Amino acid sequence: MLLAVAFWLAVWQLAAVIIGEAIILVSPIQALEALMRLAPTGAFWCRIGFSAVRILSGFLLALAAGCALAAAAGACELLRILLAPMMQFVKATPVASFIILALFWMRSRNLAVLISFLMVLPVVYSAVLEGVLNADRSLLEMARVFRIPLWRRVRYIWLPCVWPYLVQSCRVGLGLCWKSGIAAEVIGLPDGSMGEALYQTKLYVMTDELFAWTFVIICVSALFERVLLRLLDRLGEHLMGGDGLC
Amino acid sequence: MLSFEGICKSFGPQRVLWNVSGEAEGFLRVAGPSGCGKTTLLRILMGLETPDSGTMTRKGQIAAVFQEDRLCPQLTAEQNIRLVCRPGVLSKEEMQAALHALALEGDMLATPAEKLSGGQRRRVALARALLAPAENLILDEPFTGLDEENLFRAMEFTRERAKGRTLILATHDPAAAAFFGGPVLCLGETD
Repeated sequence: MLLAVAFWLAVWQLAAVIIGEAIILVSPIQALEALMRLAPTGAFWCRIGFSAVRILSGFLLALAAGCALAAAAGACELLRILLAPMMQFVKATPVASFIILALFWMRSRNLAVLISFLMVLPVVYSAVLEGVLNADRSLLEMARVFRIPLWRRVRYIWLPCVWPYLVQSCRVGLGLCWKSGIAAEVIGLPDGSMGEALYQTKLYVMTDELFAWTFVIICVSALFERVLLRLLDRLGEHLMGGDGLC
Repeated sequence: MLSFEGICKSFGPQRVLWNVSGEAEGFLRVAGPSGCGKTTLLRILMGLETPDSGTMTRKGQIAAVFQEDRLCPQLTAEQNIRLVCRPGVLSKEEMQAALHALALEGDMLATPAEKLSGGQRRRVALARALLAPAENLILDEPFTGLDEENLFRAMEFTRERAKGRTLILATHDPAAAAFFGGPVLCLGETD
């Protein structure tokens, strides 16, 4: 893995040397220098915090709403039929259309919350619904015969079926929410956001800072993905393991 | 107590049960060739199928062994058993005695059900039904896949735990049929 990264960094460096125009393509060293210039400033960390809070809020809201709607749709076919075109519509609509429309409705400050929410909701909903519909019917019948209480059915029968789908949707959703959330900020330009910083690099033709910010966004997204997946792993072990039964 | 009268059930054009009646106050063995409707009758008694016609009277809760083991794969033997019991209903000693009686001991107690052998899973499913706080036991081929030694252990334990409860047992096994005796409800051809 490290060797592969080193290989592509070398290719990048070579391409930058061949092109010889920092405006078109900076070298990895120039991008790193820009990052070192930005990192000690308070504004840099404030921008990361500002965007992360909003994008992750949208993600968490979508996670909660997606799970709740999928559980309800799993139990009620009518709701499933009713929600299907709405989810399809949200999935197929270009994110830019939502961003522009949302700017008519709300201030740009919290735009990333709504856009992240809208991009992640159908992903979580579809995945969790698939898990719900694929739950082991024979175990559910067993639970019915033995009259196992609802919370135990959810924890020990439904959750193990849904969990792999939920984790996979979180993996996909986290990448999506960062991409769409930053895109929303680039268009909406809320003060103090990472998207605004990206836009300024275009405005002032600062390619090195563009690369530095892009690198930061990738790192922050990967960090949150790793932390969330680890938390989900632990939560899954705790919820679905039978320790609570002994 | 479980009783049923005039039970009829068809799946599409195929008639599976026709005018089946019976009563189990203590014990009833359901016998008949494969495909004669034993499992369908038991599913109706468990409330998992609705008969096309007929009546059924059932007092108390049901515990069952299904044709398949139906264990939660991620849970151990003890956890699968406790899943169907309210907290505090089953003492540690009672659990240990039951697991010992069915030769469920050692490493297999800490092993998730998905990693147990077929015979071990069957015994866990049987222990779960027999330890559940239910007045009625419905056991559908509960001894399938057990070797001779475990078969007799399992039958002994079943008889002991079924005392004072209603037991409906469907089995092909001649050894089990001889061990439990009658009364017998024979399901034959549907016509």
